[in-house]
Amino acid sequence: MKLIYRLNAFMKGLHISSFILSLMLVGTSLLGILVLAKLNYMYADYRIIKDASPDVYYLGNMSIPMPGTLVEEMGKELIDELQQFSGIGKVYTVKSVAPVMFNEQNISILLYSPDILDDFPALKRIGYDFQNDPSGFIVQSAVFDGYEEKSATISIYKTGVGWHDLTININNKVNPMISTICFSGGSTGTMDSSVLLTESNFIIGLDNESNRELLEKYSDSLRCYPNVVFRFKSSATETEKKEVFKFAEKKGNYTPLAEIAAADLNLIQAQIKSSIPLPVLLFLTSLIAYLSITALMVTKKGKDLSILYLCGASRNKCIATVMGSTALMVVIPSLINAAVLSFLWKLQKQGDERLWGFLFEENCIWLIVFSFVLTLFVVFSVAFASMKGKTPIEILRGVE
Amino acid sequence: MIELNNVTKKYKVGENDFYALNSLSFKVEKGEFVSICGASGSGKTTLLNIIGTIDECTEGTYLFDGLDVSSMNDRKRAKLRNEHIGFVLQDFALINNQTVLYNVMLPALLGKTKYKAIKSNALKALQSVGIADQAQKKANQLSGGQRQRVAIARALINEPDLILADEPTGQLDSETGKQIMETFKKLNNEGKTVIIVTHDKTVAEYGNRLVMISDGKIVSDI
Ligand SMILES: Nc1ncnc2c1ncn2[C@@H]1O[C@H](COP(=O)(O)OP(=O)(O)O)[C@@H](O)[C@H]1O
Ligand SMILES: [Mg+2]
Repeated sequence: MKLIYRLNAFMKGLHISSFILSLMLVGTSLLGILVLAKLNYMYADYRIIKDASPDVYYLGNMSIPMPGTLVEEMGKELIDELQQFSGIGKVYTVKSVAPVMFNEQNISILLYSPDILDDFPALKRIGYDFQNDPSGFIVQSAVFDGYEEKSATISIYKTGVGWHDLTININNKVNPMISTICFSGGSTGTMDSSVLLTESNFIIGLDNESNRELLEKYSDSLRCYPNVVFRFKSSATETEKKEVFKFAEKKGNYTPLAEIAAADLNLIQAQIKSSIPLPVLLFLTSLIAYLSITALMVTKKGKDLSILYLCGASRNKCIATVMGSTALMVVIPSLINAAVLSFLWKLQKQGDERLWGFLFEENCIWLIVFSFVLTLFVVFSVAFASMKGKTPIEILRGVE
Repeated sequence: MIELNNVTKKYKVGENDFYALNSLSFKVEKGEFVSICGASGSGKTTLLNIIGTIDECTEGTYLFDGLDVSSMNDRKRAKLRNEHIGFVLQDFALINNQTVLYNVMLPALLGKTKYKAIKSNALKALQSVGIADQAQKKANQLSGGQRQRVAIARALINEPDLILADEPTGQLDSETGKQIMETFKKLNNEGKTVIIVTHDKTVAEYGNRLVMISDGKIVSDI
């Protein structure tokens, strides 16, 4: 306490500038965190696509769904047709089923082919895991904000009966990962993997026996949208592939995932190019500002320091006083940033929709640590360098 | 209490050595009031700074209460200075934009005493020099005489055995200077050892021992 009192007194006259400086560091470092979180998000998006097997193709939304389409039958015809091609290795579907309600919100159910997780290993990494309970569901944080139970009651419409309650098990809660940033292709029919992989307002289950049986009961009121993904055999020749593409073009629009991944990467690179310079520039500016205020402190407060020395402080204590007071200007902003980050982190965990497009990861903490250490290092070395040459006695004599 | 043996302070001025103090030996007993007198540039301040441990001699030994100061490191000397020596300088050496109270508290803030105790000690010290009512004013709002009293109060807060004053009346008119010197006299009567540096004969007369210094050497000691 006494130390803080003393440091505070020492900084007298520099309070406003150090306050502004601290704000600058807070702002700069927060901007850096946001940029990083945005890149994290884009990168996570990209990884999902990139980690897919190279020969996986997405074939858009294949048919206009009609009420009453059997869950089992959905996309069946297309799958059968596709499977007749000699180059095709695997075909799987992602079906979206609506309308479903949870907690007075409209949601849909996505049913994944069970083997899809093998081709999209990134999904598992971000929490799409059905191993413990194949008939359980994965829910979106955006919808299930603050919901901590292991099961949930959803409502499905049943013709003639009305809304019907149904209890499902929850495997895991995840954040929506795929944003429109990555897939805003623009032209009609451009693949929207957001539907394929995940979106908000979905609960996700496996397209297996028990889940199909469950939904079959409501088949007359549910609309089912089949999406088809296929993968070539590794031995597929170019001609075999071309045949499939020709067919696919007739059926709908398809885009090789590799192409999407490449486009994603371009987006990320463009984002890095456009968003990194500003925070770096600001950070350099604030470093220079820290540097000059430290130098200023040593010259402006030279007399105070020599008085401190006179009163019985050792040389090291005088240096420590300068370092301590400048460190305060670095420590406090860093603490503020850490607090803001942990707040955002908490919001993210709760699936706050305002954080769409951002992903706060460990590297955000490292960014704070990095800016903290670097600023402190600069400040300390300037303080040390500018005080090294001076002896208190000379300053005292100078003012005598 | 103080024993300097063959103390030399050498400065390098260009190519040449300059001796601010030249093999000077000097002793002060507890309770003395010593005036060190000499022309400007004779080495008075240098001597006082070495006694006050804010400067170091290049040769010779300095014993304070039997402890060898010349072999101490900076930290130990700082502690000795903080606990046993009070400094008063010609230009007051106060932190101008801080309150009188803070200035007086400063030496104690460097020690182990609790904040509350420091504050009440500081007020007591201010009372003893007669300016307790100025405690909340900024140091630069006071007159020269008041400022020098603040400096004295600061020198007293850690209850040192030794008070060092370098031309304490140099920036004061003669009447105020007299009052300040009376204060030192009073402190000496209370048992503190006082060493005062001055080039003013009337000021020097307050001491009960007069040391004349010239060219870094003691020329008379009565
Ligand atoms: N850092 C220094 N370098 C060179 N000479 C110095 C230095 N400090 C003091 N001196 C010289 O030492 C001599 C004694 O100085 P000082 O003790 O301040 O004298 P006084 O206080 O008696 O006027 C002076 O001639 C001064 O110029
Ligand atoms: Mg002098």
